[in-house]
Amino acid sequence: MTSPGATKKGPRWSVVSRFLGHFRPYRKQVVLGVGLIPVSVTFSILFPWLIMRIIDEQLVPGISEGLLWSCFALVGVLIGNFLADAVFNYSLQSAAQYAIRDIRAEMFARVLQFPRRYFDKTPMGVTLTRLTSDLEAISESFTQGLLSMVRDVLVTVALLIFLLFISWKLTLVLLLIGPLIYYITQVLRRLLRDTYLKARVVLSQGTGYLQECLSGVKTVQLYNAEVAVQRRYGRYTEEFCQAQSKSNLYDSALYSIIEGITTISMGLIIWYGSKEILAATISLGVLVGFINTLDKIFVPIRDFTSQMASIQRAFAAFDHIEDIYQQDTESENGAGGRALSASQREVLETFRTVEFDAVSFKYNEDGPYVLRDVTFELNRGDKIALVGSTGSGKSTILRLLTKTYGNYEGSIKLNGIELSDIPKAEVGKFFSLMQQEVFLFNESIEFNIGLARESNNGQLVVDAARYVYADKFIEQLPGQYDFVLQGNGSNLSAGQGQLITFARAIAGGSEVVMLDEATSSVDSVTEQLIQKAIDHVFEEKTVISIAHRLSTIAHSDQILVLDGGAIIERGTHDALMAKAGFYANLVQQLDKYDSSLPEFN
Amino acid sequence: MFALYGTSLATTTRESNARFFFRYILHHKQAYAAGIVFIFLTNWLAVTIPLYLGESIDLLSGDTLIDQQGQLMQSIGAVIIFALLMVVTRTVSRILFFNPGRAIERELKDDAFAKLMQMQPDFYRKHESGTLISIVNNDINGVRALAGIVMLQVFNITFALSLTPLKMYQISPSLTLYCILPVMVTFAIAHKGIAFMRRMMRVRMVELQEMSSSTVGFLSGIEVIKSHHIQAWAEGAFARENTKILDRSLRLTMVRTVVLPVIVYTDRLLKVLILTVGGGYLIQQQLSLGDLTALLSYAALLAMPFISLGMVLSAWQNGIVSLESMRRILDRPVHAQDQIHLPPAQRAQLFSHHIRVQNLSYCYPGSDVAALKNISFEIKPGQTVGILGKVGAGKTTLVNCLNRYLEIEPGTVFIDDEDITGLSRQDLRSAVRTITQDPFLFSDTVSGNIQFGSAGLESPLPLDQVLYQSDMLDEVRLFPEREETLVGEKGILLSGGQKQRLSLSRGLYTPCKLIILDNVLSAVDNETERFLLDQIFDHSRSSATLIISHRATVLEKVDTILVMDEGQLIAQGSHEELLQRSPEYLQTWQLQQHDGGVSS
Repeated sequence: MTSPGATKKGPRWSVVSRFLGHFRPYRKQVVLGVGLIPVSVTFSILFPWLIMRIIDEQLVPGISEGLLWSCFALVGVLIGNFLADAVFNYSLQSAAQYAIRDIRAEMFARVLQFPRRYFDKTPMGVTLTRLTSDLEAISESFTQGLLSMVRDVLVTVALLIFLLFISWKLTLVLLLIGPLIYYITQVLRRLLRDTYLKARVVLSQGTGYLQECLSGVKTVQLYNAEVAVQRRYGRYTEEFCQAQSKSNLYDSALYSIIEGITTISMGLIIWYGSKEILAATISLGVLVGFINTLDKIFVPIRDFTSQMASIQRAFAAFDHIEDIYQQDTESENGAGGRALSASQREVLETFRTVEFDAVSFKYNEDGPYVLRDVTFELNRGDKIALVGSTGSGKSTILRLLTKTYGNYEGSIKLNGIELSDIPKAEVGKFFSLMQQEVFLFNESIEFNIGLARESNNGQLVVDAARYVYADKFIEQLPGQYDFVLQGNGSNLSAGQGQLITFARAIAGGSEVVMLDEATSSVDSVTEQLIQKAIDHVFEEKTVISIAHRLSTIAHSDQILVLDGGAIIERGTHDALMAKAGFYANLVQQLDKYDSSLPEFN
Repeated sequence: MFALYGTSLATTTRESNARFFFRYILHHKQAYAAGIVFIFLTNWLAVTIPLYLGESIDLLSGDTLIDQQGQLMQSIGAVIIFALLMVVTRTVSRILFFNPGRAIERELKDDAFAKLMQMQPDFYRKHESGTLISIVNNDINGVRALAGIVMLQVFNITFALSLTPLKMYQISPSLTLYCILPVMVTFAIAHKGIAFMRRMMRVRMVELQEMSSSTVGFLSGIEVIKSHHIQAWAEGAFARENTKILDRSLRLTMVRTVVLPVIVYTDRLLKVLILTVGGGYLIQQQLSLGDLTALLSYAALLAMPFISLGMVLSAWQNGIVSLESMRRILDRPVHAQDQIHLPPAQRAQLFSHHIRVQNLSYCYPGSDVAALKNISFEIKPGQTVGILGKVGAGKTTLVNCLNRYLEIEPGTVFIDDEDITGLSRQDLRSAVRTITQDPFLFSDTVSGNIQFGSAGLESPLPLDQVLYQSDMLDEVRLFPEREETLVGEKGILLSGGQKQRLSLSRGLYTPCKLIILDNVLSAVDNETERFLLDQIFDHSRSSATLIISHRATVLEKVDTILVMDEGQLIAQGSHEELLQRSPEYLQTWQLQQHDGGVSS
């Protein structure tokens, strides 16, 4: 979705090699694990070989000396096999877990640098899935698919070669049965997958309907439709049940048939072996050994299909996370990657002025213009109010100023330097945003205000809180500044949350405050505090505001009235009222009981 | 086990989990009974086949093989035929247990859904729908496993553990006893190991969810993080959770790669044991090679049920927990009076005389401010009544008391002198229909939404007519599939006004006694509003209409207007009367006349 070449065409080796690159810090474990594979395979072959020898050399001729030693050897082989397998599995699987941890951290760090445009077009759930489920799928397929498959295939092949040496005729019998088992599992698993997919679809439909009925339970009850919705939900559960019953059949058959075939093969091998024994080409021990090795060969063949499916899922996940790697990150420097010169640095020491000169902007290449020919000037100490309907371009002006978006037409100059030439971090220090959309971390109040920017910022936090009159209510909270917020501040009132973000903006120490006033109403006590905080900011800072309160607007030196991305009126409150134009009409519509401008559409 | 869980949570005389569970099991007693027969047959075949295998090996190792070719063929034939039979009995036995498991899953889901649809707002205030969905979708799996695989394994293990040792004992009693010990050890390891794994996996799942939710936090605050340059802090916080998951995964990997393989090695260990001890016996001529082969086959048969037992025990515990969880929904009582319905004839007679509200007060749970205070009024068939009031005046609360969405005190609202708290909600709502102010539409077709809940109701309007009456006809004609167009998430998105008008269509589709329109025209423009009001007043097929609005202009046409403020009824009368009598009404009316109907 984000990058044209990132999807399709199956596994791409660059992706896989980047994944493998993350194993480099853990290569000792990898080497140990891989080194043990031949050991494990050897032990797997030694076991049946020893059994055959014991039968042929001790049991059949009835020689008891050496029996105990042979059996000790068997136990030794078992223990050796167990240890080799355990170390092989643990070292490789744990290396994979470490690698996945590192990949996750790397992806997260990248995501933090993605530009706003990425978040505009990518739902959060998608990014979340990349960081969680997709990596889980890779981890799962690595531990449960790839590793066991590699080992199973090697052991099976080695066993077959071993058996070929012992008796190629009996092995041929096995080689005839093997493909049959593979074919049967393929067919049954395909059927299983089809019913599984069908069941998944029905289940998600049913869940969707359940969710809908829970959200609309009032409507259901007021319309006496309880029975009707039950009947419809019942259809989903019935269909799901039928699909599952079918998969029960396939699943049971798969399990039983493979077992049946194993037993039947035993009979066939004895039947065929009896002739060989008569001809004295094979021994009884070999025959018993063969019988006891059958499941070691058939079970891996049965599991092969599901291991392959799990590996395919991992490749799909690889393709998904590739999106994260293909997305461009925001560069640290200005346009062209140039850093600032020393003289420019000096000019940008303190804020003096911002000049918008004939600025036009659209979010997408083929989208409509959201700003048209906007020209204005904001000098230190100015108070500018932006007024206009939703979508008139007010927020876009703020977003351009903070370099959340670039690629504007015209010119925006900060202290006389073109904004696109200044690194984002340099711009950021001049502006702090007092937002309408409150965002609070699930951390202490102190953290939410100070954001741990400086090592010892306790005093800074308290000062900032006092500046916006948030100190009183904070001091009444249990733990005061250590009070931990939850669920985006759901354990505070809406207005208190706003005050915390105000304090955060002040703690940043920026000269220019961008005020994005909330339209939602808060309780009257907090409302007064917010009003006082805004008054305080107006006294001391340079302010550019998206204003709804009449008092905020009226206190501004200049009001810019926007419509459709263009400035259609500008001036002070009194001048604009006298003009009796768009603005005056707007103020007229003010609700008598509420001193805020309506969001007119 | 059942009793233990059953009593710990019981407060009153509550049905035990065992009884509850077997109530559902008994619905499928034939299937289970047949399943038990087949699982016995399967086990019997499983222990019989090795005997024939052993017999044929004995024949092979004997000196008279050439003479006994026929007998050998018979033994091998028996092995093959029994193996084929076992494929059938095993498949059938699994189906006979798993299908009832699925059927019980379905019954429980249907029952839970039915319960949920009868729950009142107090229940939904306490339970988030996410949790409820998770119970119905996820916890059900534990119960299904209980009714399916656990039931199967209980019998499978019982038969296997009685038949296999018996057969082994017949061949060699002492060797059987030798085999029991390692199997018990394996069982202990399997049981502990699997229980530990399950616990770890649950914890890991929770940790993964925690990481997801904090990632959501970081992503929604990305602008704050970027503008304040605290990426390093975010990465640090993320790394802590990331590492926590890594540690958990490593512990799981340790159990999975080192402890659990012990189970897989058990049958090989038994084979070594049988070879050593049995080999000794064989050399002393106490056993034949065929006996030894049979015993080697039994090794796997003996190890298997113990391994399964470990899984069954933890699936059992898990199932009981899930069952408890399901019962949080299934055990909810439904109000007694909601289950007694009036005979249809009597239901049709409701609201012949009046609906009377008498000193109605209401206070939301957890609040100490009354939302309604001493409201009294009356609605007669044929009347149109309006309610006017500001936001928060209690208009919607009053509506929700009339339709008993909210639980009210007895003796306050009467329909034909019948206290509405004595009626079932369904009876009441067959007479009183509410069109709510926040319309809820299903992701269904336009017609499906209009006909919602109308099954079995008489004299529906033609769709075109009801669409016309709610001013939707022209728009619906432009929809890609007209009335059959899907709306909502999966279909076309409707505007707020369209939703309101479609919900109005739904309300007008069949006639009722009293129709309540709770501020349903707030998102339509003036002209449309006027048209809709005309349709509602002039073509109404309900005997009375109650219309709520905060616009006085809407209410000029009604017979009686109730003016509400802060939960109280401050005036009532016709438009003209109120203009004379109520200064509040006059003020609102004048203000809005002047305003020209700008919505605020």
